[in-house]
Parts: sequence; C-alpha cells; structure tokens
Amino acid sequence: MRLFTILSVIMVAYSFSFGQTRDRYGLLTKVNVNTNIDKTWKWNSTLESRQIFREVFRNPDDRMGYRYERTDWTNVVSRRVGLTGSGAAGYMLRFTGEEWIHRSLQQYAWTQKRGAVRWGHRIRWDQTWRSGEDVTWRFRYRLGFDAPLSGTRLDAREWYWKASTEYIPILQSAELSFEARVLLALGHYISDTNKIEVGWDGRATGDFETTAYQSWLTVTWYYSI
Amino acid sequence: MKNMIWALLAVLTISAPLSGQLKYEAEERISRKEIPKPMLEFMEECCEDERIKWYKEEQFNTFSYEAKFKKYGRLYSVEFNKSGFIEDVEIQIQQDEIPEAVMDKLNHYLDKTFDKFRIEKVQKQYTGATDALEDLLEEDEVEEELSLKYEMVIIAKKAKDVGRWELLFGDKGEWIEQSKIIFRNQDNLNY
Repeated sequence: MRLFTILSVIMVAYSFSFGQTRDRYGLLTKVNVNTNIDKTWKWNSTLESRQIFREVFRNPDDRMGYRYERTDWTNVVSRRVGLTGSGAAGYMLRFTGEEWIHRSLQQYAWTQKRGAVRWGHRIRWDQTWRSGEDVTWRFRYRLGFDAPLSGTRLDAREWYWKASTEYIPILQSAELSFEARVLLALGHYISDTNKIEVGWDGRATGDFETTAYQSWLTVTWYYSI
Repeated sequence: MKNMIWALLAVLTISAPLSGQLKYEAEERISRKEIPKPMLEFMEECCEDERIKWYKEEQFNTFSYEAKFKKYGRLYSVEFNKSGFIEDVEIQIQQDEIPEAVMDKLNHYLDKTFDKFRIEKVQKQYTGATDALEDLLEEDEVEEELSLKYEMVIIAKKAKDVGRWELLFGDKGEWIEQSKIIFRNQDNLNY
C-alpha cells in the first residue's frame, strides 16, 4: 500500500510539473474476453474504444467537442508460469477512422494475495508501427490491486474496488518521453465468469517540457468463456 | 455521442441477465444488531474491548456467523453456528510457529500431494467447551481440554491444475481433510 501511495504521488506531481499542451476528457469502453486453451495456455481478446467529449489545446480558444477517437483490438496468448505468474505475447490493431496502427506486445504478470487484498504486477514491452513514423518503443510497469468492499472474500454479486498505477517510458526517433497513469474503479463481481468495472483513468504524458493530460471515464466488461 | 451511449448500454445490458448465477458459499459483512443473542452475549463477555467485524457465511442449505478481530497482535476468527453458539476459534499464525516435527509431517504430505505449493495462510483452530474457548479468548490461555488443529490455505499445482486449497491437519500433523477453493480469475489485473 505504501509503495502504491508513493507511486501515485509521483504520478500526480508529474502531471502538474510542466506546461500543459493538449488535454482530453472522454469515455473509454472495453470488452475483455478470455478463455482457457488448456490448463496452461490462455487466450485473451480486448476490444477498446475511445470517445472524446472535450479537448483543450495550448491556446485555450482552441477547443473541440465530441469526436470518436479510435478502436483497438488486441489478442494475447498467455502461458502460466509458476503458481501465479503468466508470460504473454500479442498483437494490437488500432483503427482511428483514417489509418491503421499496429502494435506487438510482450508481458509478464503475477499476483500476490495478502488478506482480502489481491495485488497484481505487470511488466509489458510494446512496439508500435504507424505509417510514415519511426517505431515507438514502450516499457510499462503496472501495480494494481483489488479488494472486496465488504468482507474478506469476493463472492458472486458483490462489489469490489480496484486501483492501479502505471509508468511508461516511451522511446521514438531517439527521443524519450514518459507517461504515468492512475486508475480508480468500482467493480461488480457478477459471477465467476463475469465482472464489470466503472472508474476513472487519469493519464499524464510528457517530454520534460510539456505535459498532456487525459481523463477518462472507463467502463470495462470482463467475460470468461 | 450516439456511439458512446450505445456502447454503454450494450455493456450494461449484456451483463444484466447473467447476474442470476449463484455460488453456494458466500461471506457477507453484517451489523452487530443482525447477530444472534447467544453470540453477542459470548463476545461481550470475552472480547468487549476489541474492534469486532461481524460476518455471515452462507453455505449450501445452511449458514454460520463469524466474529473477526485483532488481539495480542494476531488475527482472531470466532465461528458460531446459525443459532449463535460457538463452534471454534481460529488464530492466524506464522508458518515458523508450527512445531518442527508437525511442520515436517505437513511438508511431507504437501510434497507428496502437490507438484508445487506455496503456503498463504496458517491458522490454529481450537474446538472444545465454551468456557475453555472463552478463557482462550479472554486470557490467551490454552486449556488441556481444547482440541487443536492446523488450518492452512495454499496455492498449489497438481497435475497441471493450479488452484487454492484449504487443508486441515491434526495437532500432530496428520491430514484430516482438504477442499479446493475456486480460483478467482486475474484477468482484470493482467489486462
């Protein structure tokens, strides 16, 4: 918990450290489906869509209203490693309405349980290809946890809360930038195969001179086949 | 805007009919006024200074009550039947507090039964006469007439199957019973 607090404070401080250039506020909806291929391998597919309600640029007079931003379709195959870990690799296809963007990803994730709280760590590397641009390389570390709102164990039809923080150094054309994220969500554990989460996802991206801030209302449905 | 509303409605609508599915074991936090009178009287007698959290645990066709609190730096869980009479006292301990000879026996059983395992929680479970359990809670005094068992939660791998198991051992480390706990999907922490 102490580590999570420290990381969150760093993220908030970072987001207010530099001049802001372009802020976005919107809705991020996500459907995440996963299935067991066998006892060791799993397949996960995510369809994520972003819609912007309000966008503010460096000049406060330059504002934009609602627009559809993009849809991502990500497919990941994972293999269980040890008792609670998993190694995974996958591919994301992004459609922005004007162009297609491609991303490959590799990750290692593991969980720990302390009392009622379940901690999740995720280390991810990804590479993004976009027409006319150099490849973007990202390294990501995410620390998250969830816990039931009532009691010490999460049962069907109970509510839980979830929080996570993530740090992402980004490298493109030998230029380094950085992104930090915080997520706070309320979840409903509908059954062992269904859960839904609604929350706030705040992001700050910058290159140590300027920072762009994003604030998303997130709605995510997790479904296990 | 229209797209956004449809997306939100789709997610919420699809999830609604699926909420009827039941699980036969569920723990629910309850208030002090919802617990049976004998349980309240017992807890007031032995543990009136503690900050107690009250729970109702529903199993298939029946239910029980639990009072959880911290005392002497340990986590205590006192279980009562549905009429409010005490059944056992569980005290969370560290693995190294189990006597070496007992631990050897437990490890032997775990090594033999599972391909790989990690102990997540160990509790001493005391059963016996109400007065003896009351003394245990009030004065941390273990009377001879109390019966001791070790309850353990492990995460383990057995024939490529990974899950959590709850195991019960006798005071000499002899295996009594075990049950598999449903392993909660971790997709919302991994993706």
